[in-house]
Amino acid sequence: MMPGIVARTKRILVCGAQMPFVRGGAEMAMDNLVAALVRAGHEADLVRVPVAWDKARLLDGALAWRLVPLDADMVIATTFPSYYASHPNKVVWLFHQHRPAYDMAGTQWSDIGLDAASLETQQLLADWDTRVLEEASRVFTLSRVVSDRLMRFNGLPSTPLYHPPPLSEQLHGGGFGEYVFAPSRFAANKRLHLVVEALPRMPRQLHAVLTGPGALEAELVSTAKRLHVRERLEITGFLDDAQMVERFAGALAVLYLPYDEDYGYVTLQAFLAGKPVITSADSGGVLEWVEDGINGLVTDGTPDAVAAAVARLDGDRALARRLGEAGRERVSHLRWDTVIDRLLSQHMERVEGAV
Amino acid sequence: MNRAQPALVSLLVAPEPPDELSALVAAMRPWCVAVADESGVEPAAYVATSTDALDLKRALRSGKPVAIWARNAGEAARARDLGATVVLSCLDDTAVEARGMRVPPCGGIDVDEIPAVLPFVRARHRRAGGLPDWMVVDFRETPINRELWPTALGVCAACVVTGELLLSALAWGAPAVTDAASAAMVGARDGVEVAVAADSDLLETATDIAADLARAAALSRAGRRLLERRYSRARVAPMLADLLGLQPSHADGAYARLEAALNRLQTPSTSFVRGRARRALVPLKH
Repeated sequence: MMPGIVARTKRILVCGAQMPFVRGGAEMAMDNLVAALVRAGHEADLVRVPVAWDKARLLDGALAWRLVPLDADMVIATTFPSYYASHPNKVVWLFHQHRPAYDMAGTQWSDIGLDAASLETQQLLADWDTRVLEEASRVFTLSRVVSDRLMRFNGLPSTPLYHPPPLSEQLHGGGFGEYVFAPSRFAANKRLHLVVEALPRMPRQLHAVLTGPGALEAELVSTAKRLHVRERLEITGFLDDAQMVERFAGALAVLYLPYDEDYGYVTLQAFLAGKPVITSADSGGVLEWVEDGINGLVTDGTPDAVAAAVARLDGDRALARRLGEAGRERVSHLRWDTVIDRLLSQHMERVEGAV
Repeated sequence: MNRAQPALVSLLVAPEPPDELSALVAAMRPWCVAVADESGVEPAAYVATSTDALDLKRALRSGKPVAIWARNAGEAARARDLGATVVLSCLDDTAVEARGMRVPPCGGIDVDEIPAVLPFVRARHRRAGGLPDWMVVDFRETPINRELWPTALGVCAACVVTGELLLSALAWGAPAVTDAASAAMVGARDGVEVAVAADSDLLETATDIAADLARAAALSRAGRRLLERRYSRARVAPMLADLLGLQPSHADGAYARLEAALNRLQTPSTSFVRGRARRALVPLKH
């Protein structure tokens, strides 16, 4: 709590998109934000509206949010299209826009092409996004990467606001074992195939532990078989919190090689466990945290380079420990009460002025 | 069951009502029906075309919100003295006065029907059309046919434009480089809504902007907003409706509220989204 500020309990709605049957980092962040607001003494609840990502229906959810009644002192909007919410005291903490219409347009992860319907959707979405984000009293983002995109694509300034990852209170250090850990969903943009393809080139006693889940599991297993490393690839499936914490604690290093990630909980969790992170130069938000040779190793993202980085840490466990300690120091300041103070700061100033 | 009727706004008309006011009242259709003859029905609000409008004093005594049009600063002061809820005018400084609202002038640019095209979308259009990636258009001397100027304004990475054409450029969201006189004419600020440069530097400045997506996006957004503040009835209509206490018509219920939401998002009338909204609500109409 910022000194000198008298804050009264506020009724706050956290707004987010709901992708049915999907639970990932964004969903965890929304839940944790609500919990942090309640711990700070406010009434808080989560409002989610289902969304569809195909371009034909993309704007339906955005328009729906314009009519959703939100009776609260303030709303904190997070993912697209929840920031379309109409409220006189709207703060946006932007997790992400609809990236398939922006930086991912024209890629394998987008149905937005160069046809007339795609271009019209893109033009309208970008214009609408800009207008509704302008309505907010403050615009924060998940990371510098998200802020840079918002400026490049929409011409809007914003402030990165970093938060702790899930399990931040439980993660702890441990020995540097005989495995590398890659705890990501099996989604294409997480590029776990790089881990599998690097495995044959890694020191032979090491194995890779992947968690998933995801639709690409069969493909990863098939690749491992083709490369004759199936016995060195462990796919755990769902891990509960305690299991996840122990896997982090015992790893030699954490491999996290997504394409242009917005934030990257895995990085922060690895650092909280005192583990170095091996990543790629095009991993986006991960690089706001990982510095080559300081708290991790940044590769060119090829299997050879990833394997070489792993071998380097395997051959120098003291280095792995030093990098991991530096990583822990790097994230030691992340706290939810700081996040709450920033999100509520303008509203709290209003309350102070009223007194 | 009786369906609720749209709010009635009584028009108090003096000779030679201004076209600007007529256009604004037309833009308020989602909120009200404006009639010159109340036919005994008490209106929700009044809009007077002048401080000399017939029955204005009766309207002001009614306790209902009253908007009064003013042609000049003197009439604006009189309207305030009379107790107008809001004073409407095309005067630039109307909005900064108490209870004032600036109304877009007629004969200018219909910004509500021009899509705002941000720089990265422009790049996609250029790619789709096989146009150069760094397409900078100098409208002072260009071989492009005048009929294609709107298209050029909609897809260029940046442009050099002076005079009244600057209004069109800003309406399209084109990152614009111009001279000081043109910027002053439209009220644009250097580095905010436009980039101002000396005559010999205009093209180079535009080229620099074309290569800087963040800078181009900032200019595009701010330039468009400037035009909307000056010329958008879709922006002003809901504000006036709020001041007059008008809600979207309940007679057309759900679609009226959706249409109002689309209007606030400055959605062009021909946008596919309006069609989707109407189709979604068809089963609800009876």
